[in-house]
Amino acid sequence: MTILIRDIKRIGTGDATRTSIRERKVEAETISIGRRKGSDIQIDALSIQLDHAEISVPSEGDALLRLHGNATALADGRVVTNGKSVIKPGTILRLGPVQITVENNTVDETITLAVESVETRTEAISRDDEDAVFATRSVLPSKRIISWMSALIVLGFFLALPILADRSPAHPIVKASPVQADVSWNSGELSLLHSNLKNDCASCHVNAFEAVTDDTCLSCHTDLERHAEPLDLKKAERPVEGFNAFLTKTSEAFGRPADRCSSCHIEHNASSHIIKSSDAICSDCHAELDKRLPNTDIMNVSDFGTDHPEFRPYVIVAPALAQPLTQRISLDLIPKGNSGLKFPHDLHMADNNAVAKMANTLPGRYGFDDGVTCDDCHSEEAGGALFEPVRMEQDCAMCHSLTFEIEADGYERTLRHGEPDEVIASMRDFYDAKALANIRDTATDSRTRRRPGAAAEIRNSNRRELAFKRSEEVTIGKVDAIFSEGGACYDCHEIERPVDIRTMDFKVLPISVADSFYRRSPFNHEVHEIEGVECSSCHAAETSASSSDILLPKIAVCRDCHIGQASWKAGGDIAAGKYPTNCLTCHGFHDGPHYKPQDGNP
Amino acid sequence: MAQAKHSSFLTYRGGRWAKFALVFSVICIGLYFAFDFEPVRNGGSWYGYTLGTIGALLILWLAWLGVRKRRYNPGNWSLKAWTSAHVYLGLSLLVIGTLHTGLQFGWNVHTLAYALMVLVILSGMFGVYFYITVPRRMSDNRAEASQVEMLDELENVSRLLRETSLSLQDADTQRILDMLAKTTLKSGVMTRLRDSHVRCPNARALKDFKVAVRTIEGDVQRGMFDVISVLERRDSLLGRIRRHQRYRALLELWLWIHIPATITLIALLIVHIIAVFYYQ
Amino acid sequence: MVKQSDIKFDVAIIGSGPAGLSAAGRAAELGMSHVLLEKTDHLSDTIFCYQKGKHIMATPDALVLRSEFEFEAGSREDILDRWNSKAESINVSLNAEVIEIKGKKENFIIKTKAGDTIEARHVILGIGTQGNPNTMRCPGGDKAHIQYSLDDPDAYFDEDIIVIGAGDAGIENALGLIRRPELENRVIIMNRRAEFSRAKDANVKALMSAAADGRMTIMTESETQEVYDKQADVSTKDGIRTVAADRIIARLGSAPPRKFIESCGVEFASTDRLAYPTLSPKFETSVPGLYVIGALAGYPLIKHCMNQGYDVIENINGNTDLKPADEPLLIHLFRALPNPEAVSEWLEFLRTKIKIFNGLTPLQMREFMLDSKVHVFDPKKMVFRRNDVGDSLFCIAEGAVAVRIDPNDLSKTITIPEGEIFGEAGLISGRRRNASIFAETRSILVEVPRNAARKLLATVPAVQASVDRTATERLLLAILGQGLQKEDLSEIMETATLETIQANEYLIEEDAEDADVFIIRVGSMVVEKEVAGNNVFLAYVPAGAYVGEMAMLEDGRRTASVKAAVKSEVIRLKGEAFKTLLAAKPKLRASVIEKFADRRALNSYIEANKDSFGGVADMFTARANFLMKQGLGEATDALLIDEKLCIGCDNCEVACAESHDGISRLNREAGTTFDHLHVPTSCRHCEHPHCMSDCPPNAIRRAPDGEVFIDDSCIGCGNCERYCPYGVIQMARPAPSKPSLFSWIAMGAGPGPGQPPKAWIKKKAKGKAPSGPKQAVKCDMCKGITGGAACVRACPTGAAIRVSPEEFLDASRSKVR
Repeated sequence: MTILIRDIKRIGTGDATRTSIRERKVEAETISIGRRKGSDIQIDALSIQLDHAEISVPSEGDALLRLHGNATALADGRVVTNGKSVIKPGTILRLGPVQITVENNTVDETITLAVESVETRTEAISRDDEDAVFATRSVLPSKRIISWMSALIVLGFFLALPILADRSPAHPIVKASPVQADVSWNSGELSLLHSNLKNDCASCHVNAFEAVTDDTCLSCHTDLERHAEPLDLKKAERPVEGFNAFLTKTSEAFGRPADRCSSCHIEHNASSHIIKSSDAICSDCHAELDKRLPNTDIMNVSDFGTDHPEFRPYVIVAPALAQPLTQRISLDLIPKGNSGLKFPHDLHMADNNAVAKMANTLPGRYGFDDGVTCDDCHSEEAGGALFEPVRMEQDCAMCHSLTFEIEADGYERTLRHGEPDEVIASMRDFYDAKALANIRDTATDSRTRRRPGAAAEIRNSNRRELAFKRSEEVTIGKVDAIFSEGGACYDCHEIERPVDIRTMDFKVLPISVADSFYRRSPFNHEVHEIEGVECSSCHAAETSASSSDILLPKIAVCRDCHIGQASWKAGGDIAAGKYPTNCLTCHGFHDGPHYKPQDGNP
Repeated sequence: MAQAKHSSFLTYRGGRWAKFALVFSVICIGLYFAFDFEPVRNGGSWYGYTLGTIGALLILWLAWLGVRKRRYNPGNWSLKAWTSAHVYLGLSLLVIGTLHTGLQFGWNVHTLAYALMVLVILSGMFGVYFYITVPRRMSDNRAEASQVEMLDELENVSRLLRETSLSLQDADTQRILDMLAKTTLKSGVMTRLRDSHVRCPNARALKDFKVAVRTIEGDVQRGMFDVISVLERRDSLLGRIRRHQRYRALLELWLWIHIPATITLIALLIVHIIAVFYYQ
Repeated sequence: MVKQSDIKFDVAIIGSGPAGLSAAGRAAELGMSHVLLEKTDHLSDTIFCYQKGKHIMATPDALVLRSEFEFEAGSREDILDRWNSKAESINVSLNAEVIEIKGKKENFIIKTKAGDTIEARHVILGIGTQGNPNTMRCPGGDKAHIQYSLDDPDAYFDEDIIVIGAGDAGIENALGLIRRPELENRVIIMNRRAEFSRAKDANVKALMSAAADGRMTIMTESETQEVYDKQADVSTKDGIRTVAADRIIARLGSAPPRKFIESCGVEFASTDRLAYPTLSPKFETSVPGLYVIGALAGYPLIKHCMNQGYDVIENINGNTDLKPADEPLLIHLFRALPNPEAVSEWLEFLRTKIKIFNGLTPLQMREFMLDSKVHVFDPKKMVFRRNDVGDSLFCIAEGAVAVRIDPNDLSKTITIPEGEIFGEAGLISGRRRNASIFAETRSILVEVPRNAARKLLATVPAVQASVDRTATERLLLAILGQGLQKEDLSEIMETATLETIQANEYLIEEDAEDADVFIIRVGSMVVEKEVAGNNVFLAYVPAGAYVGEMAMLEDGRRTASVKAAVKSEVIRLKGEAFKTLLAAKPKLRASVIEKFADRRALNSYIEANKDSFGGVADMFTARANFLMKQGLGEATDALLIDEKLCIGCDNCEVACAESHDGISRLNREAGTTFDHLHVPTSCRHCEHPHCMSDCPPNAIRRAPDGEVFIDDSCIGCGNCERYCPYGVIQMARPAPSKPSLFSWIAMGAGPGPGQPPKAWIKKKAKGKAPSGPKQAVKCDMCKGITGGAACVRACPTGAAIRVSPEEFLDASRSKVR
């Protein structure tokens, strides 16, 4: 049997197809097909078994295909597995990549197997994959896309949204936003006092690209004092020159004019103080104030430690009920005050005198265990910064009793403090009442009970008259006593005696006790409660014999601990008991000249 | 005596830009402490604005490298000089930016911009590190072979493997077919960074065949030895390709942080500046 | 068609190339009886054999075309179509290979291979320079499946093909046939010898690698014995084998047409291979009535050839006053001279005044002048300066020039008088000018560019000899200096011989006992010393220096070996004569000893440290040898990449492409590496560029700064690509323009900077065929771009540098020491 095997190769498509055909004859009944070398039809493909199949052509009838082992093939598209199958002429067999067409040769009635590889194998990876294999960009999204996405997200969330929220707060997108849109713009925590505004940027930042205006600040801070007359303020300032002028111009160019509230009050620094504390803020004007404001009575100052005048407390030179006369006098001049009160501190604070002894008789109840000390009379205010005004009833009365008569049953008759007319009236009432009581006692006596009639009435009337007369005398005497040396009032008060004592027109002169010597720099006692610092460290009360002494420490005393900014920078050390001190340590900018001391109690 | 011709961007002109950046940073730090800035040192002071302006312009200039390096002509300029300046001035930005913040941080765009800037600089530092360390290893690994040559060689060896494997037993050819189908090089970026070669199907097939070859003899064994030698050749080639992939990933990957972060940083700078002036 | 043998033609034109066609066209137009004989079955075989679609240029643009045939730049098909249709008006005889021309003017008898005889009054030869390919001589050598050329290697499929021939043509054909493996051609290359010594290295390497991969078979020491229809018997070392052969491509070289032309009685200018027939200004050979035109007359450009065909017919027809078509070009050339219109007078003036031109025919004068420039220099004006780059030859037609012989003393000059030449040193060595020259009086100078000058030297042997002598003399004077005069050298000049040394051949062997001194005229040398069995690289010696003086001075043995880094030319001076010269000139002796103290110091250093030399020196030597092997021995400027710094960003390639029409002239990754020093595939700007050796339009030139570049007149023939041993030239057309950089950066428009991928170019072309020809492109060192080479400028890490080899080897050596 002759079988013609026709090996066909083809390349290209369409018109460009090129074909190569080689034919060979095999004289055999069976054609072996497989990967094995020497097979009649050798198929070089790994998917083909060594002995894949055979085609046998019997002398009569159709050819038979036999597959070995697990081999499979397709016959006209149908799967053929092991066993024999008949293949008719025209059948197209498919084994792996190869197609075998079975043809009957009509001339010599042999058969032809046309073998053609129909599947061109390509390697999984070729040089065309250079980028896919080696370039990192082939396995990652493009940097361009990532950049755009991320930049647009940032611009959307952090720029567009906040602006939209500012421009139209009612916009649905703004409403839908779970967090407040402009919260991301907050450059830092607000200071404690403003923290209620933290979710309301627009309360301060009213207009876009406009720096916070003074009007905005003043809309809440309505009761601020002016530091000075605006015109003076302007005049007083040292001309801005050089680099600072450049800075000012630059910030003006950026819409941030100088001399606004927010020039000094810088927000969004959280715990940092909201107020600029550099001395320069003050010394810009105050260092050479006299040059620019010749008429001012404010003295030049530039540094607490080195260039600050002696303190000039407001000293009351003439007490008055309504408006005591005060005068600023430098402590250098050893000013004398006039409060209208007599109070020798030394007497009260001495260790061993009548006062001390008397105090010793009153232990426990008033805390005089260790003699009379400052806090027995001076009690701190709630904040501790200043002291409560000294009150007679509270702070003096434990020793200075206003008792003017002790009744038989021990009841102490006391006088009202602070109202001389009332004092006189109540004493007169007391003694009149006492006189009347004596008359009543006589009338009920049987010896004097005579027959009723005019004579008795006259007699009674005379006795009453007499009694009142006597009581008047007693009263005058008693009143004169309390308003005279040794009397309860006289000890502490200046008394104006009447020309005619019988008129009992005693007057207590008005008392004015300063509740603040320093109007621009209220002193804070509490912060000075430090180990080793006693009242007497600053106040020379123990040696003061007169209430006209101004018991304020001079600046030198302060400077023992407080050093100016210049010295602080040169080497201040808190551990060594030196504290940095700037203008704002004592002064407040807004504690202006319109500050009035409260008309308080004596 | 002629001087050595090749010099790295890090030592360009004796480290001119390194010196410049160092001096500049020291001056900035000095000024930072030299002045009083009330009430706090931060971007709001005049110095803060100055540093901010310098920093923002510097960021734009540094980012401009991406454009500059691609405008090849005309030019009396050297990209090496630009790279050198980019690296060192970029590092000095860390100083400028930090001083600008005054160490005041919060949950806001301003700090976000700073964080992003730090991210960009850090990624750049990684880049420089890889630029210094990887090239020599990459050169050793590729040993004159270009990428295309490696792939061509792989194609050749794979073809050779198919041809050599034709004489194997049926089960073994199937193994080779499966292995060829599973070998991949178009792997993801993490795979590239890891040494993934140990899990390579080729390596496993090689191991198995080396065991199997001892149990057979004759022509079949000789055939398998042939296949094993091709598998070994393919194994070392795949190893080389994977190492090259890894080196390229190391050299390029940092840019996927550096570039997008830079662009985002510029967007954030715009936000930062607008925000500062919008609510000033 | 007229039956040729019946009548006597006015003119018979042999060869239907552009020259022949044009001649025939004019003859037809003038009504002359004529016949055009073509050996193949089609017209214009050379152009016919170009590859499909090849674009043909029409240079020089300035030259007017005189021809009945149209010719303008276009594709091969267009041009051939037009010519073929025009050819219908002329009398053509195809398949008429002329084997003999006898007789003289008015009575020429031409015999063809087919046995026809043709009579003609005049004969015009326009057969070109290609000649006939050598044919197979074994039995069956005339079978139809044997071919002598290969137009389209992709035309064959599933064939057994034998390529016979060991030259580049054969190897390139064989490689072309296996280029597409899917075509399944089984290729055997057959070589009579054991080695492929005639072919370029790159080709041989590619061939060996293809054979190693099993993609083709090499049969060496084999020859076909007999050819049958589908197979051939081949004799091998092991006896006769029968090899399947569907096709045999025989590339056995070709016999140049010279032999045939000489057999017609025509004289040639010289015996040199490059020489052309001696022709009158009217293209008439030494045989009256026999004319030679076209490439064979020395004019390779189509336009020239067509004009010649026209002119020759006009001349034969009696129009003897016709000025050649290039007359306006010459007038332009002489524009600096008074009365430039007097072209022939000026040509005669130059020819008689300049010694080396004396032997030229007026026609040759014309041709050389077309390539040359004429300058008029005022006194004191510099012609060129020392260290300028230049390889053109200057001839003094009138006046005189002065040479500054001592760069340190500008007042020392010598005069070169009228009629002499100068600039020959640069021409010969390919290196920078070694002296400054200025005009002494008002001078008329002719500047002949390198290629034309070399052709001139080749054409006139006497000129070659005289130039060689002058060059040697001047080289000696320049190197030795010390106020030597020409006369002092007369004795030593007698001993001077010119020798050519092949690459890697030893000029001096260590320990040999000769004492000759060698001056390197062309190429460069490597000095080596054997240390502990290894050759240690000592120095690189470029052209223009001398070696071998140490042994001569010290009467000793050679202390080191000197071998050629590239193919070089040296002047050998007898040691004895040199010694006599030194003895007579103590000053010279001192200067020689002093000048080379360095070399001696290095020598003794190595001698002293012989034993402690370790890996460093070996490494250095290995690296130096590697660089030499990479062609740096003949480089003037090469790109070197330090792979310790290279991050593989390919920005160098991108920069290159962006600087050059979107095509990168450099392949960073390709090329070889040694010790992390990488020599990428990029032009080395050789001293004697291989690419220049056969450029038909002379489009490859050396620019003033030394860069070798290809100008726009490139016709895309691809010769240079083939000649370059380093594979740095490619054929390409400019890439289409891309969207702006910013639209790419921002939106990703276009392929981005660098050479665009082919797919993008194709897409951009939208199915239209590419316009314009592929032209040769190569590195031009970014000529004309401020800032210099873009590849170096664009390297972000400092990995890429451009160096000349001396610098680099010096630098390397300094590290070792």
